[in-house]
Amino acid sequence: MIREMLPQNLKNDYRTYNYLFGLFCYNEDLVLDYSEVKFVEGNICVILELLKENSEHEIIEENIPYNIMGLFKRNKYINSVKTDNRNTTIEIKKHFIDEAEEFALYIDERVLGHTRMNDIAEVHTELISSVYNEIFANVEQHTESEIVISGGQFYLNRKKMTFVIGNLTKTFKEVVGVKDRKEFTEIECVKWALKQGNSTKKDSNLLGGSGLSILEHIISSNNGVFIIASGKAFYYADYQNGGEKIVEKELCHSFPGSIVIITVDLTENLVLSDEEMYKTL
Amino acid sequence: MRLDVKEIISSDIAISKDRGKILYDRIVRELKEQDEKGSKEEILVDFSEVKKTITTFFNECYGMLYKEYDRDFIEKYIRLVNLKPIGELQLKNVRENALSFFVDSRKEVVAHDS
Repeated sequence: MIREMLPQNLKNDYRTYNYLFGLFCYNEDLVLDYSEVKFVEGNICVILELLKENSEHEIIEENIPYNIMGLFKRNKYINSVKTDNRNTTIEIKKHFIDEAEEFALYIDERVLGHTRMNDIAEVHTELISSVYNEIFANVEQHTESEIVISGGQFYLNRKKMTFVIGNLTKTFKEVVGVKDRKEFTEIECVKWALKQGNSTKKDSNLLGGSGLSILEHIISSNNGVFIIASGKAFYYADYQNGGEKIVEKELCHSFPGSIVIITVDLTENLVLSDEEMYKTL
Repeated sequence: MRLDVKEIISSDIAISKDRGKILYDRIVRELKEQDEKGSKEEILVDFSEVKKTITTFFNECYGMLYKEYDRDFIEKYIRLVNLKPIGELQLKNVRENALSFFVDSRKEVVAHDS
């Protein structure tokens, strides 16, 4: 049995994902020791849940600090009857891949129907919902994954919401593979999939290739952030404050699937009319 | 001629490939029936009671039409109406993809053959 001392901060950044994906490499029972952990972003629970889903061995969590335990319970990462009295979490949920319509209803009820979204214009929530449903459809069509795990967190002070959709089995590289006789790197495969019109289905004379390009389109217009981590690829696109910062890095450890982490701004563009909103896209 | 999408796919959520295929088949059937009657009229595919759409659905019900029919024919006789703004955006992307995939590749084949 291996004991892992988790780092102080588990955030949505390269360092955290690099560390967490290393945990997927262990092929024996694992103890996650939270003694030194001070801060965990709510959506990290999705990665921890994927770790348990992926492992054939026992994963034990010890020394979880009181405040972190509270977060885990509110997110339903740890089974609890405790309700989210802060009303900031979107609890973790496992979805079967053939239940796209149920997933859409979950997004409507648990994410868009969350009281923290009450002031958000419908035009805005429709965009957000479409992004999540497109990602689910991509997993359904391009991987052999049987389940998708999702969850998220509202950040009240920052007026942002982060939502994660993760699946196990195929990486972007395994799906995209070789194109135009050129072997792509893992990060090139992610970038290829984000480009409008690129679809692995073309080889079978079927139409595809719009879903992920719409993701980039909508998140950039929302001043949001998205991260795609798959295999050893880490692609970070930050459009906050009207800017554009793209980080492409190779992770030290390979994640056996794909994770899409989306942070949306819950203040931007909300005063725009439908017409004005869509002009920005 | 008006086709009620919600009624045809038996749902107000248009996000699955399978439901997209049901609508595609219905549109194609309508076109064939019009052919047999020898009369052509515009088909209005009405999304007014559909709450949710994604590109996968449009790829199947609309984009795939470009594989079988000419662009001019599709744009003259098939019109998707009462879409939400997000649906319009998705449809725009799907149309662009379908044009570059089916129409441009058809041109390539013709150029190659000649």
